[in-house]
Amino acid sequence: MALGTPVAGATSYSGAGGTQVSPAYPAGILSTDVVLFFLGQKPSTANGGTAATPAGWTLREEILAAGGYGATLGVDTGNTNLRIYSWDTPITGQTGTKAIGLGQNNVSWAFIVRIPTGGGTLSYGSADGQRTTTPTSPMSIALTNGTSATDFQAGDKAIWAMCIPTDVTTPGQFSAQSVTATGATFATATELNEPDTAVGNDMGGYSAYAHVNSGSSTTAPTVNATLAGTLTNVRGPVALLRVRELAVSATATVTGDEATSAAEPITSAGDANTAATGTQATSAADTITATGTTSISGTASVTGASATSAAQSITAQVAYVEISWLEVAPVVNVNGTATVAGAQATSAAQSVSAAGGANTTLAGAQATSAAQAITAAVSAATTVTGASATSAAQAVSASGQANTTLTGASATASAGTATAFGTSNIPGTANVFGAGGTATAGTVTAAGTALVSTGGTSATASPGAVTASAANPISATATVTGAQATATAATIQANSGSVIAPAGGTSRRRPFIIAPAMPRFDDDVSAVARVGSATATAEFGEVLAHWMADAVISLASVQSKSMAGRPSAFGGHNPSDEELLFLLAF
Amino acid sequence: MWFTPLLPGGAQLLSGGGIARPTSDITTTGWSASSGLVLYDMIDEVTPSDADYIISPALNATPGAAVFGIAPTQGSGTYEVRLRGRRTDVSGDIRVLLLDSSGATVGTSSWQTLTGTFATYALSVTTTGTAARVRLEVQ
Repeated sequence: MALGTPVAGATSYSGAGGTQVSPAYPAGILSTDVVLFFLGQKPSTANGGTAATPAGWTLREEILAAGGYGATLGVDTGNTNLRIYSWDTPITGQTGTKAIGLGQNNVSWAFIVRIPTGGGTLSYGSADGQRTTTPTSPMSIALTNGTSATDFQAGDKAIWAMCIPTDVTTPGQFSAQSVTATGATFATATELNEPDTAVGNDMGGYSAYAHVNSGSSTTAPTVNATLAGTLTNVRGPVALLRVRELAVSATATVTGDEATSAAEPITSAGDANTAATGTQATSAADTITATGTTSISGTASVTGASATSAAQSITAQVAYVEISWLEVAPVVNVNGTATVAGAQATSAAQSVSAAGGANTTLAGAQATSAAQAITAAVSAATTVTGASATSAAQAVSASGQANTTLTGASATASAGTATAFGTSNIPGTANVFGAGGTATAGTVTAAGTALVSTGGTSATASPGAVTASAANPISATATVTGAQATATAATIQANSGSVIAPAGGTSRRRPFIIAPAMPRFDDDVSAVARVGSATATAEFGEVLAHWMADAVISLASVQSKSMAGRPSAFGGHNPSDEELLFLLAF
Repeated sequence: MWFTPLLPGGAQLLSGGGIARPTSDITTTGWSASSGLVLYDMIDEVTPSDADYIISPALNATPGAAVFGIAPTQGSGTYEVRLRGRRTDVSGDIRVLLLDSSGATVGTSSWQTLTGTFATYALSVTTTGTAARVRLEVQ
């Protein structure tokens, strides 16, 4: 894991002779971060000055009484101290400040730096040195490795600071910082800050970091910087940390004729590998797991004439989620459709539901629809087309149109119900077209037009009821068209016109046709029965209408005959009790 | 235009006009871009592209969420948050929350398990208020 970019919090300063300094944590701290505390101190006593390491923190590097001033100490002059601590167990989301206790203190500066990591094991090395004379620019300071040497490797971070006893030119004193070490190459360094304070006897300094691009260093580092302004007293300690996230690997290797690797689980934060090489090499590792965060692999390698690998499992974790595209799309204007087309097409869909139109369509010579239900918030329709088309849909319901349509030579509709339950002007329709078409739909109910229409040579319509039930101009119609059309509909009811119109060679009709509402004075409600054919017959029926509208039985044919028809119109007066009872009976 | 997908049952989605996309970075701590520093720019294209992407924090360290501003804002209703993603390990899940302009949650999707290669996922979210931000959570 490459270490992330260091982020420094604001620099804080102690009061003159203060007993503590409390810098703020940088934002965004994670538990996996490297968190470092840099402390520069000008003592109140020459070559003195103390700091108490906070609980939970570890002193990684310190260089004291540095600058070459001996016992000289005063404004803008004197030896200073520099310390670097690391937080043992960072807390995700930590905010606020961290105080550190000071002794023999004239003035101190401090800041906290976080360096993101991948959560792997961390390693530190250190080095320090000092400038003891007035420098020229650029200034180079050779450091000496600490107990844990820097030994830079690719992926490491070098982060360092210098403390000086003056603030004459800071925070614009330093630029173009760099670090070098034989055998390693570093990226361009970045300055983090230049502490600067006129509190007490004044002090300044800078901090910077650089990424190690490649190589493996064989010497202690040298740090460099370009200087500006007054160079007098640009002297003092430099402390440097090398930070590394370990790419730990675990390997079990067995080599030799008949080599056997019986390693038990191998777990590593880096690569986890097992390899057996030999004429009859066998690897029996149970589990190989690489548990780090990036660029980690797990392998089992067996090489040999009769090589056998018995590793149970190999897992290599590089645990991230990557997202390349995102959009938020509203769900609107929804339609649902099921379509089956074929010679003997069959639809067994259980239900089709949608927020928009929901349709099922079958087309074929013997198309059969067994859809249980079709429901939609807008419209719903089932259509079956074919020579022997059959629709067994249980129900078609919609807030808009609800239609069942069958077309075919022997089309049969046994749909239970077509219901449109919206608020106005919504038709419900059951249509059967075919030479011997039969409509046995139980009920057609609509808030608008309610219609049963059967057409065929021997068309027969026997719907139980055709009802248009809403308040205003709504009609109901049963139409049977065919050479020997017969209408046996029991009742047709509407608040506006209600019509039954069989038309055919030997048409017959036996309905009650009623326009039964109790309309306002200015409403015209009519009822009409028409039979038009060569031998039309009206066997029985009541045709009733209200108010100023017409009640008509019209037979138009060569041999038309009315057997029991009774047109009645109640225009201009209230119906009698007898008439009302008659109406309510239907 | 990309495509106009059908929901199960034939529901249809708009593919333009009302579709909201990321327009700003709000909270991206621990997340990074495959290139550059602006994260939302990695995922805001009209035509899906895997050429650039955002990378979550490591999943083994309680990864934080990423929050992006979106435009246009979306009123309460049913939405399909479509994204392309992948995991880099043996497991990786994502869910999406829609937030109002103050950061309060107005809708949450279920967790979606990702595969190891970029694939398109559609997460259904029903909101109770105006959505102005999208929050990505991973585990």
